[in-house]
Amino acid sequence: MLELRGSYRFASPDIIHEVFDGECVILNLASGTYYALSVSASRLIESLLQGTAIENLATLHGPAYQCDDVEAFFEKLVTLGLIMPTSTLESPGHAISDTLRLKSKSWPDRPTIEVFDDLADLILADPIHDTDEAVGWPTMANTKERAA
Amino acid sequence: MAHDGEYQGASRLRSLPMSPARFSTSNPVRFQQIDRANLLPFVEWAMDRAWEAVTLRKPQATTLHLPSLEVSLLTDNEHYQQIVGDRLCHHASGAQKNGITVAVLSREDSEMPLPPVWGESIYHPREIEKQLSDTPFRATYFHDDGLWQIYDVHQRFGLQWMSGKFRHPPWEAGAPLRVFLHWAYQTLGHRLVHAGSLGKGGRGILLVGKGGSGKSGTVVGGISCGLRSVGDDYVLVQMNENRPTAYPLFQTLKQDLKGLQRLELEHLLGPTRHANWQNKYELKSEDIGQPLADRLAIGAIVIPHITGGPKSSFHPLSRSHAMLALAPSSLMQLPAERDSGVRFFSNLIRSVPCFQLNVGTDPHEISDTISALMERRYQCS
Repeated sequence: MLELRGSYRFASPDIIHEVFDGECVILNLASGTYYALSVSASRLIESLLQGTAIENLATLHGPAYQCDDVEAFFEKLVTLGLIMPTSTLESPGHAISDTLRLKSKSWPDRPTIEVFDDLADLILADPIHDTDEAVGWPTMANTKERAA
Repeated sequence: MAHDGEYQGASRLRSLPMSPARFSTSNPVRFQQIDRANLLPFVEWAMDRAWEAVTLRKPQATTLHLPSLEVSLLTDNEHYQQIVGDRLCHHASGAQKNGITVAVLSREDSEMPLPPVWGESIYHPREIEKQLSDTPFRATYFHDDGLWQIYDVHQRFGLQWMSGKFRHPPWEAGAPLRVFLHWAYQTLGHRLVHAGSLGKGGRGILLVGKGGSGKSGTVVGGISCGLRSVGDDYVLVQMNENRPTAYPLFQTLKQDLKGLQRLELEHLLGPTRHANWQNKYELKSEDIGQPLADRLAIGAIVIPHITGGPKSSFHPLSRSHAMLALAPSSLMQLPAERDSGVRFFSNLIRSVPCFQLNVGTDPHEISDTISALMERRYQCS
C-alpha cells in the first residue's frame, strides 16, 4: 500500500528531464547521476509532474504492469531523492483523467528507472580527479605518473 | 596561427568598455584562500590584476583563427604558446568573427602573484556555476596545479592563472584553452561536444559514448581508410535551423598502442614515442591519411559498441539512449553552462536519427559500413 500522498515535483532545480519520442531521461546536474525511464515510467512521471496525485496514479494497471509496480516505481523515485511533495490540504493533487486511464492500459512495459552514476565521482570528487580512467577526459588516471 | 608583431591584444582590450573604476589601480585586497563567501570579490580582483599585468608587461600576443571566433592569446609562457600552436586548428580568416582575449599568466612570466588556493570547504562545480550565474563571470579551479580559469562574458576576457608555467592539468596539453572556448562559444549558441566524427564528401556522423567505448579507434581507423574527420574527442557543433554542423578545434587524435597495432599504424610513432597522461599516443589526421575536414554536416548520432565480432552493423537507437550517451559527459567535463547545454544537446539529438554501431574488427569493413549508413541516410533525406 503506497503511503505517499498528494502532488510531487522534482526535489531540486538541478534535476531536469527531457522526453524523446515518449521516453524520459533525467539528469541531476549537481551530482552527475543520470537516469533512463521505461515508457510507462515516463508517462507516470510526466503525469506526476503535471500535478496528478501520486496515490491516484498508483491505481493504474494494465496487461504489462500491476499497481504494485507503479507503487515500487514511485517509492524508488523518493529513495533516489528525485521527487518531493508539493501538495497542501487545499491542493492535494489532481484526479486521473479518463484519457490517461484509457491510455495506461496500452503501456508496453513495467515502470522502471535505470540509474547511471559513472560520472558522479567526477563531479563530487574534490579535486576533480581520482576517478575511473574509463570515464575519459578530464578524469586523471594517476597524478603521480603523469609527465611534468 | 599568426604571430602578431604589434600588440593587437592590448588594442582590443583598450577598445573594450571597461570600467575605469574596475580596471585602474591595484586593489589592496589580498586573497589567501578562496571559498564561496569570497569567490565573487576574488574573481573581480583577479581580473583586475590580470588586466594590470597585461597592461604593464605587454606579453606576446598571438591571434588564433577558429570557426566563428578569433582568440587573442596573451602570454610569455613559451611552453603554453607551443601547446596552442601545435594543438589548436587554424581556420582561414575571412568572415567577420567574434573576438575574445585570453591571458595565460603565472608569477614566472608576469606581474601576477601566486594564485590563491581553494579553502577548506568542499569545491562543488555546480555550486560555483550557480553562484556566478547572475554575474558576467565564469570560473573553475583545478586543485592539483592551483590553476584558476576565469572568464568575463561581457568583456570577452579570460584569465588562465597558473602557479607555474608548466602547472596545468594534463588534458590541457591535448586541448588547450578548451574551457575558454566552451564559455565563448556558448555565448554564440554553439557548443563543444564530447564526440568523435567521421564523414565523407562534407557529410558525416558524430560518434558519442563514454571513454573507452571505441570513439577514437573508430575515428583513427576510418581516417586510415579514407574517411574524413573533424576530431576524435571534442568537436564544435553549430545548429543552423536544426541542422547540425561540426567543426574541428583540436588537431590531435589519440590512440593507445594496442589500437595502433590493430590498425597497423604503429610505425607512425617513430623512435621517440611518448605517451600522454592517458597512456595514449597523439597523432594528427594528416599523419594517417588526409587532414581534418573544415566541417561536416552531421546526419546521424552514432554510439559505437565493440562486439569483438568480425562484422559491423547498424541498428536504430532511441533518442533517449543517444541523449544519455552524449549529454552527461559533455555537460560534466566542462564547467558551467549546464542548463543551456541540456537544451542544446536535446535539440541536437532531436535533429538527426540515432544508431548503434556494432564495431567489427576490420577497419576497412567498419569504414565501408559507416559509408553505407551515410549514403542511405542522405538518399532518404
